[in-house]
Amino acid sequence: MKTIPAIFLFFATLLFTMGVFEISFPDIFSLTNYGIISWKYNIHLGITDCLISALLIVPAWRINKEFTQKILTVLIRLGIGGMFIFASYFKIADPKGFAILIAQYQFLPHNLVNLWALILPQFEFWFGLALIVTPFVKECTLVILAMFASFMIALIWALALDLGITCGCFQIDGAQSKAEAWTALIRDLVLIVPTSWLLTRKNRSIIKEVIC
Amino acid sequence: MLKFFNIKFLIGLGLFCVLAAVVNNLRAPEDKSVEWIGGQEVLEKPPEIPQ
Repeated sequence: MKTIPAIFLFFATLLFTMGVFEISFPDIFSLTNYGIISWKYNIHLGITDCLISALLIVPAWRINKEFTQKILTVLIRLGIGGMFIFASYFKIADPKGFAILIAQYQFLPHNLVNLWALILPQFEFWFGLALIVTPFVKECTLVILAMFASFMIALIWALALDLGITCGCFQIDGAQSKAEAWTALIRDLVLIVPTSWLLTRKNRSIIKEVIC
Repeated sequence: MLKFFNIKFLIGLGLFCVLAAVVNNLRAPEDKSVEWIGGQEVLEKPPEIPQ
């Protein structure tokens, strides 16, 4: 029985994607922009969407556990891997811009800022790509989780010191309101959950995951 | 813990990432490349954007 779990997983994926976008870009992806619902804090809507998506996985899991696990594995690998590849693009294209951004966090020793700005985006790109195209799921997940942890530490540091800087996750701009640091932190906390689950999966290529 | 992960893959891809970083910095235009060891200026914090 695969049809009913597939339907649940389809809506779960849709809701989770919407939720992550609503958390990340509350000014753009929100019903409040169209005057439909007057919620002040759009991030709450995003978190709610993510929680509902998690609840939708439960019936799919109970009906066909193996199928649900396979589909979730494929979707998470594509989603997280794709996100890291996308996020690395502007950082690889402009190492100096990214280094300036890292310097604003005032977290790393001065002499390590440029090195970190050069190396981190490469880790994002290649381990994100490897998560999709290689069978080394656990290894790539470990590195990606380490990167998530580093992002969260930096964001908490920035919030604690009230630095008022942008996340620098997907774009390099000047300093922004610290609200963006909060949304980035919450988004990372949400994304760590499905990423961590990948550590429980077997090392196997995506194609084998679907076929076998 | 070490046996749980393929250490050769981790180290191999890690070294490849470092190599890619070196190549990227060498190939980047001068206005976008950085010195290997060093940092950047800490800018002045802008006024808080009203919510």
